[in-house]
Amino acid sequence: MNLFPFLVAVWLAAVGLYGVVTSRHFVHLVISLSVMQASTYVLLLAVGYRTGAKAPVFADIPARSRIVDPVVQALTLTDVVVEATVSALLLALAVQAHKRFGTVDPDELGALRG
Amino acid sequence: MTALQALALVLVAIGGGAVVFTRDPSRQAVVASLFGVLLAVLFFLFQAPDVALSQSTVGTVALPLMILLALAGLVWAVTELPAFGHYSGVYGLTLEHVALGQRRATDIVSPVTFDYRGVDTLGEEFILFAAAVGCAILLRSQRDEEVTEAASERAAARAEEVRRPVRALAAVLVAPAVVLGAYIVAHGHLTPGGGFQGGVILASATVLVYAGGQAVAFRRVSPEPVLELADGVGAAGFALVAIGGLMFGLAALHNFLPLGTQSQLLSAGMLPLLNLSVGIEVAGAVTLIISEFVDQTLLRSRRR
Repeated sequence: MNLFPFLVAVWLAAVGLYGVVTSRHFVHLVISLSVMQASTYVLLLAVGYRTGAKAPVFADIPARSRIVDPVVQALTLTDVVVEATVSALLLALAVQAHKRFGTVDPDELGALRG
Repeated sequence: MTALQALALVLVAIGGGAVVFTRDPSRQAVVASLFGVLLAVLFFLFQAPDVALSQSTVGTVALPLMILLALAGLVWAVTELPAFGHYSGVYGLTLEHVALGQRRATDIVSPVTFDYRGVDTLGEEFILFAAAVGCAILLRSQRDEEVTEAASERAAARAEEVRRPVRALAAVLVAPAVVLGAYIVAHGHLTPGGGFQGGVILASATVLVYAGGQAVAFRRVSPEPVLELADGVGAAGFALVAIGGLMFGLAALHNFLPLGTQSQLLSAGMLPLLNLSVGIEVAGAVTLIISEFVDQTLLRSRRR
């Protein structure tokens, strides 16, 4: 059971990659990519988790409490923000692609552009 | 029969079923090539390398094989990690003991984000800035006067469509959303939250105006120059605070403000200042991105 959270992360990365590769719609592709990125959140938070430790906020717990790793949480925070911005940018590109070429299928786009 | 051969047989059996039951042709192509790889492995295990070679050259193996290898590599990689719940990273364990005393911030994630790993966040800030500008450039490039007028007509028409209770609810929720966002930004160093989280909540306040059918008002409460200014000022503010340390003869991003008393609103040195600049930037950037998409939606629904 100790490996289970990590295997879930691997699964999310794999299934997300599958979705990206086989996607027939740009919006579907972007969402698949976000599933793939979710694997990094699961991985990072699973690595930093400590059994019996508290959230790293000392606002209402004693100063000597055991806390889970705040570093991976800060990294995940960065990750979430970057994921959102990348999605926004990709969706903007999808809108442009649809406007220019009249299709949202990545494969058709490839055929159009040779 | 060896266990490996039995396993390969089971996989081929399952694989064959999977190919048949995948209805969507494009997906079926990928499943089928995976099935091809399984067959090749089976042939190889049955001591028929020639057949295996021909099987593996038939169809596209490269892609599924890469995915399989990546998957195997990932699984192998995670087995090397410390067991779940037994975190032993020196960085985190050190911070557990020193962060509270060093920075007087009760939310430890906040000093890690803005201080210990402040350089990462500076980069993240500029990614956000670049993405917002990129969205604006991409979505604004093909807009002309005539179409924009049509869009504002369309926006006025849309306001009629939205039902009154929805409009009332959206209007009522705007002020609490602003207050909540400001609260989350201001208390970033004390409780969970901060510039990023609060900034998005602030942006959601302007989106509520749009949800209430007030696309024209949406434009008025969030004119693009103001959004761009907020985006830029926030990003620049973070950079200025970062180089502020240099002015005082310290390293970049080094704290140069008094730490204050723990759990006070104005404490933890420059963390509230950094949270504020990030809050302004995120609110500006997210609203800018959303307003560009809103414009697109209005333009397109008009054309249809």
